[in-house]
Amino acid sequence: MENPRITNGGFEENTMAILDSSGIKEARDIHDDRLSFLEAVRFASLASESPFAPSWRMFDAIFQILRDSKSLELAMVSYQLLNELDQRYPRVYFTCSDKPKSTSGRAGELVVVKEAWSPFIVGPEASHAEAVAAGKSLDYLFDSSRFSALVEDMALAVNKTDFQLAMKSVEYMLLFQYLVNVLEADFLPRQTLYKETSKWVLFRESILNMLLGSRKLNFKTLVRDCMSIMYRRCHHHIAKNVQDLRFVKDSCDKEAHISNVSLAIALSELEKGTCVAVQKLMTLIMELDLIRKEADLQGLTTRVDGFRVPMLEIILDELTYNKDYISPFLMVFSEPKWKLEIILQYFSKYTTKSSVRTRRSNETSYDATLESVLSFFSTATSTKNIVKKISSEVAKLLLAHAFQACLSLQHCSRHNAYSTERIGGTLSQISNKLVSAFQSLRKYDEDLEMTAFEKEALFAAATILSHRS
Amino acid sequence: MDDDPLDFEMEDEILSHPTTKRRKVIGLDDLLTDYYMEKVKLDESKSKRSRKSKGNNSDEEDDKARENEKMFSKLVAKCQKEVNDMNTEDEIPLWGQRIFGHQKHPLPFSHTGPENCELLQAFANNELNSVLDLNMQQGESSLEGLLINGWLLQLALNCGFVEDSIASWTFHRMLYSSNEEVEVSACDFWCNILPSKNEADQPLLKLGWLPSYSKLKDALEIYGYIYDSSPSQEVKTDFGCEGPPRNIISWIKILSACCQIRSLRSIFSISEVEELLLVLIRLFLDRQLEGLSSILNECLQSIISFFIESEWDASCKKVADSIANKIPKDLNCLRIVECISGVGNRSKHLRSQLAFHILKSCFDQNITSSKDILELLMSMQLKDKNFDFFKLYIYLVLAENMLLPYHPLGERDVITDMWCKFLRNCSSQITSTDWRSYASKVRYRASYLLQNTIQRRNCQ
Repeated sequence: MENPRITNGGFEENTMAILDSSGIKEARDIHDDRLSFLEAVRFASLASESPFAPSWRMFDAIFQILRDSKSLELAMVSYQLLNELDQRYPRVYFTCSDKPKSTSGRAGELVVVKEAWSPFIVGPEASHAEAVAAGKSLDYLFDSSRFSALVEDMALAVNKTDFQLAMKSVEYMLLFQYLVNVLEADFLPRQTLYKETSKWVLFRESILNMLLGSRKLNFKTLVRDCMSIMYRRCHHHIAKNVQDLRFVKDSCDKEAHISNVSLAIALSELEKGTCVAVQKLMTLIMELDLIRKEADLQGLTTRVDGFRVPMLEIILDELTYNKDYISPFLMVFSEPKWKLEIILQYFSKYTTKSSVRTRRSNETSYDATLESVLSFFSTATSTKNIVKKISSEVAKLLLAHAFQACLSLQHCSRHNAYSTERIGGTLSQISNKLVSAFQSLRKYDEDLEMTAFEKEALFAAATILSHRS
Repeated sequence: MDDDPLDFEMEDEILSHPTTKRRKVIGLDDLLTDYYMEKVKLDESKSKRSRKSKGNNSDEEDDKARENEKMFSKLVAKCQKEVNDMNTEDEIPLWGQRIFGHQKHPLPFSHTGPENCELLQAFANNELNSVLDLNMQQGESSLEGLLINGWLLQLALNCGFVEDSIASWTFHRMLYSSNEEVEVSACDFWCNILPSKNEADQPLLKLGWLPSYSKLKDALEIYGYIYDSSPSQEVKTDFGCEGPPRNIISWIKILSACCQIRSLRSIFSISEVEELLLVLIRLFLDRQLEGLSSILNECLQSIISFFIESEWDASCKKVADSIANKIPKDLNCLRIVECISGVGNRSKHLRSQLAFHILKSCFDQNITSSKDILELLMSMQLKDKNFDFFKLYIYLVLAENMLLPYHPLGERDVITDMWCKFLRNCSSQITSTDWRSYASKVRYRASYLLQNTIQRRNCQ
């Protein structure tokens, strides 16, 4: 990237003028102007032969259009443009180090473009004042309280048969997906570098850490809201009313009908995407917590870092006190590494002997593997012991889900080292043990009813065994 | 009066317009607000005066007011007429074409019953079945359960093959099931197994049954796809089953997945992919799919990168040409060009080719180069009173896109010169008082492009 600031001054004025709405009253003209603006930015910053990075004001204008689009077309175009711009002009990236001496050198150096526009406004207040002084408007950006308010709004069930409300929820979902993309893009390069250098400071300065560390955000509520967005997506609960938009009574008018159909089609896809984004956010937070814990153990954190309860603990508490949530949550949460982790930790809450766990203690329950959990169900006595604590209903549900996570991990090269460590056996061994665990459960309780999901797990285990034999 | 639509402003001072930077249409509302503002002022001054002249006969003023009123209502009627006249010019339909008509009934699933598949049969004889008394539901519903809960995918990936009957059954469910969960899970199933490969870049799974062009095409027809949308055939009042079903999402995704794996499995021939590219680009014109632009884009990128370098040029031209001949010459032209939003060289090439071919079909089929088109554009008489600025606007945007990709150096200067000259014509020969809305749109766009082109040139 050459220095774009020298040449794009006139360009910015020129392009921003497209949005100038003085004298225009017609909604369609404003809509058209916004579209031309987005198209002009796309051309100048992405498609042209010598692209310029958009200025702060231009970025901000695109973001405003996304936040208050009122039209599906504008919402989609601005969402896409923001994502593509972020890819083309990343805020955090590696330089390929051309100096041979540079540190360990393989990943190059991490560059954080501090002055670049970002949808988040986090970190010390002083830096905000500086930005305002430089003529940057911060009105539309997200701080911790706005972010948690957005998640809360999404967690509220919305009546989707009303066009206006449905459109609002489209905006929320796109906004949220974009924000999670930004968080991820800020997080992943740091994680790559951390694997080589183990520097906690990389994460202290990550947007995610600053966002969650603020007192303006109630972390527990955020986690609960995330979870309830996920329950809603679960098929036992799926609202069928999305498709009803198609058949709303007043859709005798053709244009209204078309926009209702387009919303109905868009919503079902967006809701799926939102669920993926929520899962991504939760996974990122759990990865952050894991790194934080390592840093704590090595004494790299200071009082500046504050304290936050790890997400996994909040999830476990939620699932422990609301057992009805276990099934819908695990049904939707499909990221295999953390799904298995949640289940193993759930079991270890009841099986680890030492009950005193201090926050900064060295003790981790890392020794539990899927194999060892399954072994609890190998004899009648041990089965009885564990079932007394967590009930056979929960036990069989967790085992079935753990088995599914284990199957997914088998062909997931990303998690190879991790999965062998946490599974603790070959697929045939695990399948075998799953079958015998269910047999012990059945022996313990003859009337034990099995859900379709658990039957399917056994079916899968049996099929795999017959293939491997 | 038609010559100077503003002359009524001189008639009465009541209407003193606030100066606006950029006014496209003065609506009735504006006139009314202005009138009321003036009236309030008038009333105020009147009451002041009447206070002064207490006891005097105010008939004179009443008459004056009545006269004003009369004049005003006349004025309103006149303005209304004018505004209506202008609106007829403004009523240019939004983009949007009817790409999908009535849905048809899906083909019944003809393959051998999936309930007889080996997967279920083998398990029926498994001893576990009796030990645990699993009582799995029989037939299709148990397969549906396995599919929705993701087990079918895990089994396929872990066992390394998918039976033909299950493959064709899931594919059918994906395209036609009205149950969203079943459809989405079937789509996930296919999008995961198709690209799966081992370390040696060989397919991970053995698949006896593969998706095919004809299967996708059949589905499209059942969704109600209209190959040639002429506006005449739409007289419908019941929209219940109008428009594509939700399954169109899966259709797009699977098309994308099939195009990405050319090196692993060959599913389509080149001419089939050309046909599919044409269909996909047309889908962008359907307003009902507005919310799917992200996945439409992804799919477009997959299709574009399906071609190898030696095939691309010819295929691109072919597709651009056949789209250009089908598309109505209105805002849809702009939509279709702008929807090719990728930033890679091929996207730019396709965009430019589309614009070129549409322009070609607007003017004359014998045109061979963008230079010819620029010459035609420059010969237009913009000052002609009945000049169609809407058309010019479309030409302008198309030409802008046509010139998008890099041109050979020798030609570049010539073309840029011509382009700048044309833009200068547009911005200087259209007066800022021209009320026709597309006249101002052309002017603004042209001056914007001109400034950027000059700036860009100075930078080089």
